[in-house]
Amino acid sequence: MFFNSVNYAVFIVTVFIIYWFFLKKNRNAQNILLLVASYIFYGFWNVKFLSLLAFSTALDYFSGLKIENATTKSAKKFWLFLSITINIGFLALFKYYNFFVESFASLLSTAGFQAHLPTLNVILPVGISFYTFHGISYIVDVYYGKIKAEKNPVDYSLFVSFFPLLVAGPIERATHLLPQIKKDRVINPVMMTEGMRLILWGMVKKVVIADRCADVVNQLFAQYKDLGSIYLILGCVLFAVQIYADFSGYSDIALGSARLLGFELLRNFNYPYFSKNIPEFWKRWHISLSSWFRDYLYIPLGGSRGSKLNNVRNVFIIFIVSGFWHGANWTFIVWGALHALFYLPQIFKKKHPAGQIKTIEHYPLIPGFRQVLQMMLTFAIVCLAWVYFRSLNVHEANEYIINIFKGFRDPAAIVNQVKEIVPGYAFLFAVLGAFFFVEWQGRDHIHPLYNIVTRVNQPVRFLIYMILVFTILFSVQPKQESFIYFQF
Amino acid sequence: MKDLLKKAVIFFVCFCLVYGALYFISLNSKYEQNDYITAIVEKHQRAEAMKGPKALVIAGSNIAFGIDSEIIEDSIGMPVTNLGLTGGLGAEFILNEAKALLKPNDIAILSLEYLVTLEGDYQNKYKAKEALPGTAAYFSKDLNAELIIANYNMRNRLIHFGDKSTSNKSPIYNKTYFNERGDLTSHHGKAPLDKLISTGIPNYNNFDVVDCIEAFSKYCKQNNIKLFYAYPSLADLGYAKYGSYIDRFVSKLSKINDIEFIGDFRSSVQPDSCFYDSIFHLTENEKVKRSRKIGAALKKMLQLN
Repeated sequence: MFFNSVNYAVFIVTVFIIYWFFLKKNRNAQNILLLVASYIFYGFWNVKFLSLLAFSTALDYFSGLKIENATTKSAKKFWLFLSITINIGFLALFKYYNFFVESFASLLSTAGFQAHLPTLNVILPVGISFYTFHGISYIVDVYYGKIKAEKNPVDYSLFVSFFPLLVAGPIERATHLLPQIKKDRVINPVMMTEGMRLILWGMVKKVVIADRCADVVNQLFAQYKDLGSIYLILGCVLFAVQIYADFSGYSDIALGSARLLGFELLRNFNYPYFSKNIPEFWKRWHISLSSWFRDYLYIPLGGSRGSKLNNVRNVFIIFIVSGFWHGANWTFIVWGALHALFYLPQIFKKKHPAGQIKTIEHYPLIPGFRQVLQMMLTFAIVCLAWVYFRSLNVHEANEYIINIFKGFRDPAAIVNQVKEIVPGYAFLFAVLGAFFFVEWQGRDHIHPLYNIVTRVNQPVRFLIYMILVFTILFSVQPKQESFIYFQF
Repeated sequence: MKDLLKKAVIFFVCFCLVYGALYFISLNSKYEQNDYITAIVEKHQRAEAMKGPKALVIAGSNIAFGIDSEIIEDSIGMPVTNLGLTGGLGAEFILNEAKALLKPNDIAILSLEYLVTLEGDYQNKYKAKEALPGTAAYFSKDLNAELIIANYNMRNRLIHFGDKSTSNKSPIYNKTYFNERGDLTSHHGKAPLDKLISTGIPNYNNFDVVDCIEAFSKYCKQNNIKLFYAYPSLADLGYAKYGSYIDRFVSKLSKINDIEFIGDFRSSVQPDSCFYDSIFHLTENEKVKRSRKIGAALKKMLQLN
């Protein structure tokens, strides 16, 4: 079930009504309802893989209890190791097996041996990377005593499978979500209003921005061999916008849906394209994943402690692993490695004391030239790396980037392309300009609508909502684009 | 909370009123959709009207553009109907449609394109269903998709409300240009386009279309229908882009026992200059050559004099 579907609208309204009007005073019943709803939500995609979700949940639930009850350190370690191995094993089997087999066969063939190794003809269970990481973080937190093992199987299952975050995050922490599951929820009109605004803005991002960009991006990337530099630049810039609007739109709808049910999920995006450098970008992009890797990989590896060389090594490890988490393809590994490379200057740069650097929230509405330049440079290198993320293979991505630079040899062709593109995509550019202006003016709040709708009176607010709803409805295409992060 | 609910209800009522008004206005628009897929009606009428054994050519647009049914008819001495419209209908629809029209002792010539997905594009199926309601049985209903398409059609009617030209008809993808056997003729005598359309992203791990073809081959065997597979014509450009996927597709396909293959895969990959506008759509001359080859091969395989 997609968030941007009529099915989901009916689903969330039904759950909301039963949850608040029939089960209001019974938290356990509310949790059971949410758990059943989450399994129905997941089952809409593929009923077969519900058993995998249930198995993964049961494994971590029992492992957590075993770790807590173990009397020796070695027993604790055993259950931790077992749980992580099985979790990673499933991920490896479904997501990475074919990649390893094909890469190995390709390696053998370059060495002159022809090997026909068996590959699996299986589909990737939606959300496996997300719920596996939920489980692992829980087990590690129980092992280190950051949280008590959850005794109630319903509460724990709900933590893993809560439908707003089940298939594409945010990747929650047990320390953050489990206490909310165990607490009585009260109807909070402010929270609900904000939830509905988040859903509305998330839909605008997905349907109006991401899907419009997707049409152009698909065409440009499919024909990249025949296109000039400016078209290729347009392709990667629009993909950057597409993936941001798509994924952050999904996250907004997830956060909004959770708020309607009285839950506060971790924020996943904080206006990443206004970042002034790559480290800041990673504090604002897919925050729940980057903080997961920081806490469960980077810091255990030593983080920024020790020598610069160790720090560089750790940065490369987390970015490459993070790239590989996205998908079983060398393109994602190169994408991760590029970000590690872009991150390096920050390691060698003199650190400013905390609080001395202005963040974008404190910039004036019209920022200074230096600030704009920093943001544009950061955006440019992020776009460059996105080419690898979007391409089918590394060879195509390399060719794409080489073609961008090759094209600049012919200035006349560049001028002609600009003359074609500016009028050809004028409407799209106007829409994107308006979108980024709205985002910029509302960058101090979780969603940018807040600053607009709270400054006007009720009828104008209604009018704004109505315009946005009709913009969404009239932008919906019959062939809907799936959310990009569903494939991970 | 009551205040919030009251506001939400008022907003919802206002929304319904505005939407209803817009829908009502849109009904008065003279805008018409592209009618290419509605050619399914005539194709079905022809196939259903044939009394004795017949041959059906089954696939997407590669056969609409690239088969001359008259040539095949002359070779095998049996009436032929070309069912080809678009691969966007999906393998499930196309093969279910064929099953509904095939009878014992018929011949099925399958030429399904490599990039066709199992489900296809719902909008195409919806258009086919609107034109020929019986085709609803060939695919599973998706209420969500139907509401979105209805909303999209309303939007188009509103956008083109004041247009003097009342249709969205293409000079190529147009029902008028199908001949009586179901072959498209709109590209006849026209110069090929400079750049071939080659969009489509194959699903590299999913060969459910091959499984669907295998099930179809079993159906044909059980019902005494002779099944042949003619490799779809494919431009070099298409093979360069999707070769690794297509090789795996063809390799899996070749393992199906109950299909007789016409020609070999390699010879179906041709220079880009043989194609009209996409990597699957042959020009008029190449269409004739291909049809002669298929006709001659069928004559031999059916041991006809």
